[in-house]
Amino acid sequence: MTSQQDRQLYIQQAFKELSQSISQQQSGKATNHIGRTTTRSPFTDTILKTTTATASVTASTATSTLKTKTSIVKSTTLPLTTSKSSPTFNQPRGKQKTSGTVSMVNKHQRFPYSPLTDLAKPSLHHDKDQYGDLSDEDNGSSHRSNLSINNRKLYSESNISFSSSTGTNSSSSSHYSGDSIPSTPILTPVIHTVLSGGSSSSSSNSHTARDKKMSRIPSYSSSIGSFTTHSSTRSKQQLSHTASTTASVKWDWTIEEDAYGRSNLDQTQPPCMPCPQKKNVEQDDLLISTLETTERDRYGFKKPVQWINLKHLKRFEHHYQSVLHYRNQKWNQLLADHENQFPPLNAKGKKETPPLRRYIRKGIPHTYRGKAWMHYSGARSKMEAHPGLYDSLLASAMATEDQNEFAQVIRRDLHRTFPDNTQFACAHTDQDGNITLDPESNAKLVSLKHILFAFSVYSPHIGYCQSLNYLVGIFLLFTESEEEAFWLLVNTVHDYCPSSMYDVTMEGANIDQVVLMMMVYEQMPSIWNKLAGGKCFWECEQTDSMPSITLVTSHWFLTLFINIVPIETVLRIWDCFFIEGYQVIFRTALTIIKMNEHDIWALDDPIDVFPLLQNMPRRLMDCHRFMELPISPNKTSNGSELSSKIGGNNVGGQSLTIWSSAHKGGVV
Amino acid sequence: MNPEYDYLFKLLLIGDSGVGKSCLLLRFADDSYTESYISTIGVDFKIRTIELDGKTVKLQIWDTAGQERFRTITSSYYRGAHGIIIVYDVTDQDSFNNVEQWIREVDRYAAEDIEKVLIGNKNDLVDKKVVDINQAQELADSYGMALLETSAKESTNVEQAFLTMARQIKERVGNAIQQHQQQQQQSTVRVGQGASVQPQQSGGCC
Repeated sequence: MTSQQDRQLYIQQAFKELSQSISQQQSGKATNHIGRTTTRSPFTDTILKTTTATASVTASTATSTLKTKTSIVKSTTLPLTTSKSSPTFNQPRGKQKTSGTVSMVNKHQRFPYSPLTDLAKPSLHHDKDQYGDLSDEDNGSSHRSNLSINNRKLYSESNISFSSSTGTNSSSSSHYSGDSIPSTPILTPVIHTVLSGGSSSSSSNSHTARDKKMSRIPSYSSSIGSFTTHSSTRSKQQLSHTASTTASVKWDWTIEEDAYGRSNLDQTQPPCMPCPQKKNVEQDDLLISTLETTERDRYGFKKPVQWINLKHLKRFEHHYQSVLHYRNQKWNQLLADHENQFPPLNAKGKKETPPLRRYIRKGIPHTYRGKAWMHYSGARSKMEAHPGLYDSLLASAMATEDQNEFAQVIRRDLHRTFPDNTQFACAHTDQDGNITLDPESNAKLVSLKHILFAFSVYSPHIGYCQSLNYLVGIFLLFTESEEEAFWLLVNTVHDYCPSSMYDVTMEGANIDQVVLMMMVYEQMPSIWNKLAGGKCFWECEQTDSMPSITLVTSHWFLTLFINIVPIETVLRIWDCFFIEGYQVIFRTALTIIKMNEHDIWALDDPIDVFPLLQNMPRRLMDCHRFMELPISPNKTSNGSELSSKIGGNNVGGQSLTIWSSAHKGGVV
Repeated sequence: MNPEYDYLFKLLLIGDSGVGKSCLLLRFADDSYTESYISTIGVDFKIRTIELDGKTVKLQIWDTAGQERFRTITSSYYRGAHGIIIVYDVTDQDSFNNVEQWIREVDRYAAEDIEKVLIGNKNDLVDKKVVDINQAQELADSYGMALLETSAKESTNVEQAFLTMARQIKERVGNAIQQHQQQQQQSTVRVGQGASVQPQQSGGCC
């Protein structure tokens, strides 16, 4: 049997299992709801079964994308972090080789199942538990409706299954052999690729490393399992609420519009907001009017007043302040309970006490954010395992500055990194009104320069890629030293993002866009048709001509949403990113697209999708509510999805999660 | 339903990092300028509709990242463009030296009949100017391109540069595109691959 046939079989099996997982997911949910103390949900088992399968799917996509660019991709990556898996300076690390040949059959046929195909109506998922956290016992709001009592109970239930369902053993993911050829006709799009050095083995290694260090990146499958059970308990409450509230459909869009400044907040106060009830709106307005109008946020960024109605912005800030205050209290208590240490993430399926992921999804307080990123990403352990390495790298980089081929482009980007931020500004106006830019005069920009130079020496195959400057810029706002920011960068680039994302080929970035489009094609076929002008995904994939919108979305991935969404939203995304992995970026991207679904449908001219998807994310100021969308799934009891949210437990979510693992583990 | 424009032209701004592509676009699309512009990641995108010889022309302009490695992301979209504006910095000899490399990139990925215009930006920095206009003109002539020296800061020649490009495209392929669009009676011109590209390419050949 040829290697291409092997690949085809992998893919076929993968899709078969994906389809099966839908029904299993539904049954799993029911079981879980009834028997919520089960140690592992059936859906989680499904995930385990499909892990390798979907990895193959995505691997094939990735590999097929490579075909027109490079037939062989060698990636140099740092191994998943343990304190002992230290990179050696200038040494190739953990080489993996992927080679492939690709062909395509049945490219014009579509997937047999698109979970979100029937979502032509406004979703019903927004209800009084929209904020969830705000109505449960872990809530920062003092304004609770009667419903919150139920919420509290439901959350209490969900916490049990939340924790118990995280018991996934990733290493048990199945392998597909040629003997298990599915005879199913449902699989239509097939790619043949050859993948040597299978992703499963490296995936196993990853999990081994992860198991060794509990505070490392959590298992994707475990986190997705948590989504499942979490949602299943919530969905029933949501459904019951929906059934009793005929206005819930209207609610949904009122809230949506409120969040992005497109509607009048006074019209109706969203029940999910951590704010006074409707009767208190006038009082609220009074409070807001007394707030000092500041042009900049605490980080030094200009507030996005050109995108967000000032009144809405102020009201949100007012509401969010109380949330932040309460979250801070919770974290203070959390750390006090753990001897001022960050409690470990539980990746072994044991109950998390406290439910740390939930804490993190609700936002890490500003004062702990940098430390938490360092701790949970593994950057701190890596830094401690290499004392002095940064200093020597920096010394080496500075000594060879003139010979550094990236020196010019790095210097050119220094003053173009957050120039409007007071902490990064370096423009000086002389008496004649002439503006001069002097990056050396700004300590943050000097640190930025140092880190980028040191990184270009540390990872010579990457050197410097525009957009790393933004990542480092944000890191510098939250870390205590250059060295910390450097190691956060190292970890983000090498451990979280696809290994060839920022290198000279940027294959990882290209592949991301193909996969994102595949998700859109799967989950939002009508949007796909609008974007692709009626072409089939597989046709575009084969001809290496993805929709032009990927030019916009590639930015989202490269900067991890910096300069795309408001800074507070970026930080909330990153909180989840550092704990739950790269899949969060995919979920966020799909969420944004999904949120624009109706607007995209309504466009007379498809060209307008570009300004739509460029500008709409800038209005996503309500980070607290927005983060509910990518990380929380929604399902009704009969399994049909009504959500406009991109949940982690639907097929697409699985693909995301598992693809992410594959992407990281061995494909690239 | 007919579109609100007679022509839709897709333009691409390419050139080395830091030559002022984004500032040119900002000046042309929004008539504004800032010293504190952020570096472009991937692409930026703006639309401006202009009147040209009594026709409404919608210009869809892609501003690309200048770093060389980003070409792997942007180059596959060259083929859908009607015109490419190659920008260099008159105060940066390297950026001018790389123009030929950019032209090769265009020849490799874009349609054969694509219109090209060469722009030397930052022409307001007279004291720092190192690229001689004669040298640039010679290069432009050898590739059959128009050359304009511009200043996004002082809004010099920016409008003319984009209008020159638009007029060139209109004269060459505009009529064919319009005919095609009328034949198809499409209410929209599709942005995705194929639909907008093929008619335009075939239009250019007619």
